[in-house]
Amino acid sequence: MKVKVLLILLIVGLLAPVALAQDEPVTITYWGHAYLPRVALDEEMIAAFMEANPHITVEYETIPSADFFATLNTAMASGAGPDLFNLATGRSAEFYLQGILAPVDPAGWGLESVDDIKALYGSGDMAEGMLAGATYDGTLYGIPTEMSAYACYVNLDSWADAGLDPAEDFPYTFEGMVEVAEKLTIRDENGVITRRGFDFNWSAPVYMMLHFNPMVQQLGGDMFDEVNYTADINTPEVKRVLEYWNNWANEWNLGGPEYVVSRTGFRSAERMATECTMGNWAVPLLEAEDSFAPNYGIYPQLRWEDAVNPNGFANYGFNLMANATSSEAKQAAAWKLIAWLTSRPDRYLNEGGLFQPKAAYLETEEFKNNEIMPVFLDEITSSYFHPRFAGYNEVIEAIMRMRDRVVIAGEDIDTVLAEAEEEVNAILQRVKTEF
Amino acid sequence: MGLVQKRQYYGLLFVAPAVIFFAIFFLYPIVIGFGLSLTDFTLLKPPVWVGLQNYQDLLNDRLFLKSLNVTIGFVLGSTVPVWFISLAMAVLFFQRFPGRELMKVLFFTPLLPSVVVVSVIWKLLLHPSGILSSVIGPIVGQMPIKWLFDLQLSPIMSVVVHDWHIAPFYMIIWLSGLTSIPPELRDAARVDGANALQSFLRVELPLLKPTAVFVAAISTIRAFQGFSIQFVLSPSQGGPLDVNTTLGIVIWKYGFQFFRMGDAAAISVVLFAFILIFTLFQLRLGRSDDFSLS
Repeated sequence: MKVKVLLILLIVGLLAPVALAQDEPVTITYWGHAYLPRVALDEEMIAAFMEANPHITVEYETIPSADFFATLNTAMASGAGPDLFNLATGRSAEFYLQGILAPVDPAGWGLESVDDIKALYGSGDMAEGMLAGATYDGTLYGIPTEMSAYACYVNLDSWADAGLDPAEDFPYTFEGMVEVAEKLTIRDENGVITRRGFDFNWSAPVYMMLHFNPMVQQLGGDMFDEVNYTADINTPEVKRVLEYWNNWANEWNLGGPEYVVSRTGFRSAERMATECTMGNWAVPLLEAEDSFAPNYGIYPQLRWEDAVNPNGFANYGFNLMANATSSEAKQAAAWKLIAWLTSRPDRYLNEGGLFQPKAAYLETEEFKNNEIMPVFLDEITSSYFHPRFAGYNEVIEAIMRMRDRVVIAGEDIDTVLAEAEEEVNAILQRVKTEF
Repeated sequence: MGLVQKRQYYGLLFVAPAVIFFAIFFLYPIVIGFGLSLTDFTLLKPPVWVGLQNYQDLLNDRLFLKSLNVTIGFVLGSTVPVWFISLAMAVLFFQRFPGRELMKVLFFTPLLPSVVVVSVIWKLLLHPSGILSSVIGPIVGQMPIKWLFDLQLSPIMSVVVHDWHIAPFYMIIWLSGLTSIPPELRDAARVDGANALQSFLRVELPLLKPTAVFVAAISTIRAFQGFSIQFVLSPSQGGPLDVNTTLGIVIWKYGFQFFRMGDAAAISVVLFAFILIFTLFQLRLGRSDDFSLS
């Protein structure tokens, strides 16, 4: 009898800490950028998560997109960083190299292995492609909350004004776009453009990675080797793309860096006719009810007539990632929340305009019948993720400077390309040792 | 304890909060900043001691050298002209004329919005198809005018926007200086046969010396710290081709965009040294007795 009682006490004593640990209250912080269509849904999902997991409290904070990375970095450096965060793919390499990113924990999904999680995103190349932005050296460090590729939005009214019908006249190629854009462009009596037919997104260095380099890749080149940290810029492919951009602004006078950001131009009084640097996320923004809401259609990305690769512009996205410096309990709770937040791709697409590429959702009738997603899915599956490396911001600034030396300062293109290659390689070699 | 000693302790007690505040929020960051400038620090890994290497590297750092040039240009453009413009405005509004108060309010309004709002408004005005381009373009025979994308014009526009925004602030300071001059001195000068210009140059201007030193010091410090206007007004935060990249913007870029905290700290120390030297020089100049333009 005594032995029996002792045995029961021993078992209870052994199990009690486990039971207590499972229910131990834990508070986690989650930081996301302030993309408003997503924020409301996030808040609703988080509230439901806390109801289902009463021992987990989530402190959700949104930060303006422009300040997000600097705020996150500073917080991480001071030890006050969040337990999970929604990070742009272009910004994750430095975090990975400095040990900030925790590998994905399948326990958050109640699954056995990471392969089980990958299976949620398809099989083989499909899963690999969808998760490429969150994978480093074969290890998965995040789960996509947004997977994007750009397609071309056309303002149907602006095209109609010019007597064009995109269903018949959309050019599909960069060569063809020169002529079509000229027809769509309106200039005032002084020759100043008041409506652009099409323009590149000249506004920020990141676009050099998202649509300049992909144009080079279409031709068979590639400006960056993210594995070996080298750059290959002084090439015929880069020269051809840069000449096209230069001609666009200076020779053909169809746009240029001095005009407002192309996205703004598309959704403003300018009513720019064609904009090709927006993903499917733009739909909720374009459909907001105001006087600038365009009557739009969506067409595939432009490609070179003699392209040797099938890609359009670059794939990019945001991934939910967990802070490796947080306690184990917080990391476990974070992965559980990440699993929860990525469990409703239908709602995030329909209400937030964000594509979470889960295989099961892609098979649903709802997705298949979606009017716009087939175009974007085609772009995603035929395109490459943008390169990711430490020193990303420094490199894209150098590439933008290369562009501006030719387009704005009118410097000799061969000299500029040679010097840019030297400069970018020097940056990459330095950061390779620093991080 | 004697009464004097007691008073000394009370004195220390009263200044203690300010000293503690200064020590925590100013002195400590300065010391830490200087310490960081002697390291390689990528924010998320512990700093690595490199001694004076960061300072040595600055001598060959393209962006730092470029920003030094840009900053010196901006300091020149946003100090000397603004001293004279604001002084002229103050002298104007020191006179009595109908509608003076209303005009004073109107001239003061550029200072009311924040510098960010001012920059955004000017960005719209300076758009190639904006109102300024439409008005001035046909006159100068160049359309469109690339105000912010022309490599020569763009930094000038940063100065223009800055001076337009800040001149009213210095105007108020000059006005307070003019007001503090006893009117008997002007009357005496007039009785002695001085005309308005002579009275201003020989009587008022010398008496404005403390105000001038203050305006010069404050405007120079502000100009060296130039950041917001260039950040908002110029394309891609300091462009095109870095013609608007001030030292302040380079510090931000190196620290929070490029993860080069050690280099950013080294540039901060250099900037601090520049400001200190110029301010000391101006204060010393202010102590000299000769301060008359005649």
